[in-house]
This record gives sequence, structure tokens and C-alpha cells, in this order.
Amino acid sequence: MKISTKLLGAAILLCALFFASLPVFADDFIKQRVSELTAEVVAIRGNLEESKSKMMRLDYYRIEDILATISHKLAEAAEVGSADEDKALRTLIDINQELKNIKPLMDESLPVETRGIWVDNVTMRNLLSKADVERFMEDMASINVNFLIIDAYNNGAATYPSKVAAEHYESQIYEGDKLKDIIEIARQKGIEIHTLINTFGVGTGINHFLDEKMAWLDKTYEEKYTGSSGHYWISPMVPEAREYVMSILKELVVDYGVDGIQLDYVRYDTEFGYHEYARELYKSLFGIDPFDIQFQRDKDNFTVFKTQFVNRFVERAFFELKELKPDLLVSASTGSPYSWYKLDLGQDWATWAENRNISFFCPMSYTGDVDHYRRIAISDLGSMKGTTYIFPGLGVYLYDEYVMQEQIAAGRTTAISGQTIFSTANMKPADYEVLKAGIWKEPAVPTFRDPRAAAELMLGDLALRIQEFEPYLGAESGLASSYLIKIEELKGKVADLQIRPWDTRNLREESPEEVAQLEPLIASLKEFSKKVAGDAESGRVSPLTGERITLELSKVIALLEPLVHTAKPFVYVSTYLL
Amino acid sequence: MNTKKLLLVFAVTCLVAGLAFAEKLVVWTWYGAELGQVFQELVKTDFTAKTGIEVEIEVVPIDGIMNKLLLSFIGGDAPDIVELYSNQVVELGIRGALLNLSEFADVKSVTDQLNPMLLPALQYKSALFALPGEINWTWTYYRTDVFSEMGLEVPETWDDIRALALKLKARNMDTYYYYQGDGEIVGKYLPFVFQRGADIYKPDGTASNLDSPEAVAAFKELTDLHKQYHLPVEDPIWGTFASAETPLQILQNWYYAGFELTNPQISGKWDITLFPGTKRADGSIDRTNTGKMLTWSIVSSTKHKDAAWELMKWLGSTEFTTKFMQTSNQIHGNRIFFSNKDSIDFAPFPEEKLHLAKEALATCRMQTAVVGGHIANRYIDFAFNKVVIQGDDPETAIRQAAKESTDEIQRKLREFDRYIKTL
Repeated sequence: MKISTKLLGAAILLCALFFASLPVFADDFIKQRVSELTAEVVAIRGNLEESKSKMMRLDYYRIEDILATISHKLAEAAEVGSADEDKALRTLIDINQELKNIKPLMDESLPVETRGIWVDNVTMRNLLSKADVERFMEDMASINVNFLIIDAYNNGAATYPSKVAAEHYESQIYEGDKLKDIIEIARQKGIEIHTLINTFGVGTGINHFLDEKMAWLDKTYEEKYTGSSGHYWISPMVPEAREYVMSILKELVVDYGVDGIQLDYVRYDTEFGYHEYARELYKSLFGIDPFDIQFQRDKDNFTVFKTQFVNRFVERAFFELKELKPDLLVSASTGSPYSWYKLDLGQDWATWAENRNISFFCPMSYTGDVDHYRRIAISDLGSMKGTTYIFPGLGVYLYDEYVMQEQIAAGRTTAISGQTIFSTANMKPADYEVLKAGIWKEPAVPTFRDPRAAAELMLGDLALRIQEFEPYLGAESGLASSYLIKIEELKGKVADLQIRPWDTRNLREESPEEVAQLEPLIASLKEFSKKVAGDAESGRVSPLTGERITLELSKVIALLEPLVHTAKPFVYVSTYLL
Repeated sequence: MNTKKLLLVFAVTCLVAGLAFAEKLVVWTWYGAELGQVFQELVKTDFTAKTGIEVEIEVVPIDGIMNKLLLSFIGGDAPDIVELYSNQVVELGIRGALLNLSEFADVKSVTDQLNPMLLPALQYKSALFALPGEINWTWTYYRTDVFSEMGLEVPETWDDIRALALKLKARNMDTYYYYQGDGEIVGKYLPFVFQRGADIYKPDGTASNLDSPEAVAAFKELTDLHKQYHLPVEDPIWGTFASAETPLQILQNWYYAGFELTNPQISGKWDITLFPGTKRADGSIDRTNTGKMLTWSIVSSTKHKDAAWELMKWLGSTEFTTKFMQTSNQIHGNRIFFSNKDSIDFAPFPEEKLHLAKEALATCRMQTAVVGGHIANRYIDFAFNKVVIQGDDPETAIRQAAKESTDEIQRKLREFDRYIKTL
């Protein structure tokens, strides 16, 4: 049945090419376009063959059906040609649409993947009733996200009825407690809720600080409360300011029992850091008012001094909050790539990971360029050196649904195991359609909660793929079976790991036993990966298959590495300048 | 005291008195920053220096200017001259806030320099409430490289646009038609009505004319562009013109400088032509387009009527407009145009294309101002959305809009009756 459909498709395609080549039937334009579209169909068929070698679970039958329809229409357009130009053109337009319909189907939905989305302040403002929340959560569930990052505190006020911070008007007029409703529905749908706070950024919400909190506001080098952006900040150095932020975080953990906390704006802004308290403190420690600094060495020293306060705040938040709720995950949305923001904004996030103060990061890798996005993800992964997990942020406001799909697909070609969309208010209806049609079509198990289990599932899935796609792997006789045996063996070792779970472990508590289990396992994974790469290079298996297997192994390794890092003896690392 | 000293004292006294009683006009304009400085400088050196009339210029953002003007008018501290968008003028005029410029004996010598199709936006009955300044019209931008590669002809008519839209779409490219500003849909719709020799209001301005055969056919033609010929309702414009995803775009004239500034990479790969037209029975093409204007009005509370009129005339003069257009081009690279027909010759625009600008201005017809008209515009938006988004029948939708518009206009006529009677 499958073969006959293919033959039919090929026959129709040949007909289309035949008609397209007859100038008597079609004018130049239609002929040329039929020829171009025919080439596109041929290319898609080629991609489909490659997808099979890559062991991608696509809806091949549906795509073939669409391609068959396109081939019919191409033949029709070529036949009609200039005799009825309007009809031919309209047929070609239909074909364009059909080709667009295929695009979302060309990426698979992975069974193990972290899929987050930032629920921004605009969205939070617009959820004015429980019915709104229910509709919104339906939309979220429809794209199979597994965690939502809810904006709980921005512009100096909370989006929930807070006892410690001012409350946004839209929260006040909500009948009940919006955040509680979100959490309740999310639990029913199996979606984790991580609440985000604008840690030190006040934005334009200065009206909530026109009391004793005014003294917490940070200042610029020009001694102003706002810089070029017009936004206000509180100083990470002022003890009362830090206590205030901590009290908001604790309220979210204790009163709401959220699954995670995400620190946003956990940094300075470019021109800030000159609060009187900071200047006095710096002067008492280093004998110079930061305003009087002239030499680069002193400037660097002041930068490090400022950065340490952010570092310490993250550290404190992580440990104090975990004490309240041991399985709480504490993450941060950070400037990306890491190296750009480290010094300028006092956001040395690699050091937080090295010091084991963080559960994962969502770096804000917003760029319109697909390749650039991929390179940023690789660079940030490299900066982490296996100390923690990153789930890069996709700036969907920068591009259309197809670029979004391409960026997700590009991110998947690295060792990261998930990505985060920024943000709900920026999502267009077409974005939802593309996610639902293909790349996030099915639910996925997240990797941030239990990376060991995720690694086991990934290996199990890889083994299944090898079985499913065996005829397309271009593997030498017996090679696929040997891969299967090895993968099953590695999967068994991951399953047998006697290690503490990621979400509840004390990241600074060493465990030589865990290191002794994990290091040889990672070495075996790397060794197997090297072997597969060698097989691909020598033609014993298709290069595409080899690439896919090594990619999956790299993801498994990236999931296990932070488990090793946090089982080794803890050594405190300071912020240092390059 | 000798005679010489007496004369000197007399002269100084006259000068001081003259300065104390010299007329001083207050002008509200939205020209700020560098452009505002240019404006101030020109007023000082070319107007005040010659007429002795002092001018104080206040920069007021154009958004919310209607409310601000009404409040200051009631409070007794309104300016003498105010810069407004053309669609704000009649609403303020019939409320008595603006002076009827027809009172001035030489008004005709000023309006004679203008394309008469611009004035219906600024008039109500026989009253003229503003003189036009900067103007936008609509014309066509196309990528010459794409047209050449595909062997396409430059469009003259809407028939050409429809044929091109299909050909481009067959190559996965779009054709975009957009009118930027308040009343986006009305701005797109009006030319189809005008090219049929009709208007969207009855001639006496007391009812909608949207149910006339011409207006119904025009509405079908507009909505068909989207429904049958696949024109997108939205397009990012800048990027898609640069990438040639949308190589044919019908837009206002200010996009010209925008494309030059934002898309230098396609320099030499695009051109303009006039707005698409409709063939008349005699074979000629009606290329009436529409646009909007910035205008100058005298606030009716002014105590310096004649001085204000002098400044109004100067603001519309070729002398001022030429210098302002050219300086603005030097500072920002933009290419603004003024409504004064003669000023086009001096516009900072490629000389070989000036004939297009002249013809575009000559065929630019503004939306007629009727009481309640701009509020009624929203019924055209509703009708458009019903057809293009919800798939309703265009004739039913526009006839419904006609009824609702007439109701709106008549409601507003009753509301403003006491003002209208005084005109």
C-alpha cells in the first residue's frame, strides 16, 4: 500500500514535469513556477528520506498524502497553463499553501523535553476572572508545555494578593486569588508553576516606593534614580531591600507552595550601583569613594564588589527557600550569552552554578537569526561547563511561526534538553498552530525535575527509534543490534544509579559514592558516542543516523554532568574578571 | 534740552512703546527637537523680521491636542494658531473653536494655490477652518528587480494589481495595500469610491451614501482584494519589501524616505509609480487616491486676527515650505511635501520623479468632512472585518454600515445643531 502510494506520487510528478516542459500548454511563468514547485516537492521527499535516517517520528503518511495532492495540482496547473491563467495561478497559490501546511509537520515532537513559557505581566494583567484563567490554561495545555513561569511581581507590585508587597490593580479586582487558581488548574493538567519576580528591577512602579522604601532605590553614577531606560532599581546592597525581596519569595513558597521560583532582573542596570550605602561601604573597605575611582584596576574592583552582592543574594535565596520547601527549584532568567552581561550588569551567573546556588537557567537568548541562536546556546552551555542545566529563551516577538519552529529545531541539535518561549503576550495564533501541529504536538516529560529519570527515558527512546527505523539506518549487518544492546546496557546503568534526586539534593553535599557511579557511566557514554561517530565516518552506519545517536548521547551526558558536579567536594568560587 | 536730544528721547519712547504693543502670536505646533528649531528660526528670520509680528512657538504633542485645545479655549489661554490633523479640523470648527477663514478677503488667492480636492476635509458648508500644510498621499512601490526577473509590467490599474497579486502569490510573494493612520480601512476604501465618481456621504452631508451602487461596488472591490486575490491584511512592510517577500506595496508617500533610510541594501532595486486607477469609459484612467494633511488653523478666541492670517499665509507660502522641506531633508533625510502646488517643484525629491509627485498631489482627494463622519468610519471597519475575517456577504455588510453611519451622523447633527446654525 505504502509502495503503491509512492509509485502513484512519482508517476504524477513525472506527469507534472512532462506537462511543465511543454511550452504549448503553459506560458513561461506558469511553466517555471511548476518546475520550481516540483523541485520543492522533490526536496521535501529527499528531506523525508533523511528524516527516516535521523529516526525522526514524523507523520509520514500525512505528509505523503499532502505531497500527492500537491503533485496532482501541479499536473493540473501545468495542463491548464496559459489557456486559463487565472485558474493555473490559483492552483499554484493552493500549492503554496499546501507546502506551508507541510512545514510544521517536518519536525517531530520529542517525548523527553523541557518546554517552558514565560507568562508575562501583560498576560497576567489580562486574566481578570477564573474563566479567563481556565481558557488561558487550556491554551497552555494545548501546546504541551510542562512548566509555566508566572510573572508574580513586577513594577514594584505583586500580581497576587500579597501581604508584603503592593498589589496590582488587576489582581485587586480579580474575584479570588489568581495565582491560586492558576496553580490549581496547572496541577490538574500536570504543568509545573514557577513564579518569577523582578528581583531588583522596579521598572516604572516608583509609586509603590514613595515611602521608606525610597531609601532602597539604587542610583546612577550621575546620582539619579533612573538611567537612560527611565526604569528604577532597588540596590542589591541595601540590607532592607534584600529582606523585602526575600519576604516576597518566601511568601510565594510558603503560601502558594509553588514548584519553582525564578529570579529575573537579578542584576544591576548598566549605569547603577552607586547607592550611598554602597559608596560608604566600599570606601570603608577600600579607602576610596567609587565616584573618585580613576584607574581601571579600581573600576574592576568596584565591579567585582557590586557583583558579589548579587551573587550572595542568589545564594541566600536558593538555600533559604529550599529550606522551606526542599523540592523547590530555584532558577534565573539571565542575560545571554553569559559573557556579555557578566561584568556590565553584575550578573555572573556561571559562578552561581559553580557555587551550586541554582537549579537551572533560562538564558534570554533572543535573536532573530536561527544560526545565531544555536551558537548562543552552545556558547552558554560551554560557559556552564556541566555545572547545571540551561533552557534557552526564544524571543518569539522577533519572528514568525516558522522561524520559531526553526529555532526550536536548531536548539535541539545541541546538548540542551529543552527551551523556553518568551512570552505568552508575544505568541501569535500561528505560533500555537505550528507548535500543536508538530514540534510540541505530544506531551513531553521535563528534564529539570529528575534529570536521571529523563536520561533513562531518553536512552529508552533512542533504543526504540533504532528498532522502528532499522531499515533506514544504512547500518552494516548486526550493527543496529549491537547498538541496541549497548544502549540497553547504558540505560540499565542509568536506571540503577543510587543517587540523590536533583530537586531535593543538597547541591553542596559531596558524595564520593555518587561520583564513583556517575563518572564511569559518563565515560562509557562518551566512549560509545565516539564509536558511533567512527562508524558513521567509516560508512558502517548512515552519517545522519550516527549524528542522531551521538546527539542523543550528548543530551544524556549533559543531564548527568551536573549530578557529578554537585556530588564532588564543594569549593567556593569567587567572581573574577577576565 | 536741545532739539537733537528731544528727538532721541522721542525715538526711544516710540521704540519702547512699539515693542510693548507689538503683536505677539502664540502658535502650537508638534514640530519639536531639531525640526522645531528650524521652524523657530525660519519664523524669526523670514516672518518676524519682515512683518514685525512676534511669534511664540510652543511644542505640543499632536496626540490629545483636541482635548488640550478645547480645555485651553474654555480656560481663555488658547493659542492664536494651532497645528492639527486634517480630520480634527471640522469637529473643532463647528464647535466654534476655530475661525472661519472665509472671512478674510484674500482667502481665494491662497486656496487657488491648492488642489481643490483637499479642501472638503477642512470645510463645512461655506466655512473653511484651516489651511493645509504637510500632506501625505498614496502611491505604489515596487521592486524593479523582481518585476524584471518575472517579466512583470508596472501596474496602472486595479485590474493590473489583481493580475500581479495572483502572479506574485503563485511565487509565494505578497502584494500589500495599506493606509497608515486613523481610519485605516476607510483610507483604503475611499479611492475605490472616488474612482467611481462618488462619495461615502450624501452631498448635503446629512446621511451616509455607503448604500449607493457605486459605494457597494467599491466595497466589494476592496474586500475582494483580500478574499479573492490573497492580499494580506497585515504586513511588516519594511522587512518584507527589503526581502522581496512583498515586492509590491501601495502606501503613503512618506515611506519613500523610510525605505531609503531603513533598506539601503535594496537601493536601486525599487521604484514608485502612481496609485492604481480605474479605467473610465473614454479609456483614460482615474487615479484618485487619498491621504491626510497637517493643517494650520486660527483659534477663534485670538485677539490678533490679521497678524495670525499673515502668519497662516506665510506658512502656506512657497518660500516657507521650500526652506522647511529642504532643511528637514538635510537633518533627517525625510522627504516631506506640502499641499501648495508650486512647492512641489522645490521638494527634496529625485527630479526625475517629481512629475509623479505632482500628479499624485493633483489626484489626491481628502475624505469629506461631515458632522459625525469620523465616528461613523468605524462602521466601515466593522463591515470590512465582517467580510474579510468572518466571511460575511459584502453587500449586506456595507448596507448595514450605511444605516448605522446615517444614524450616527444624524445623532451628531442634532447634538451640534446649535453650532451649525451659526455657520
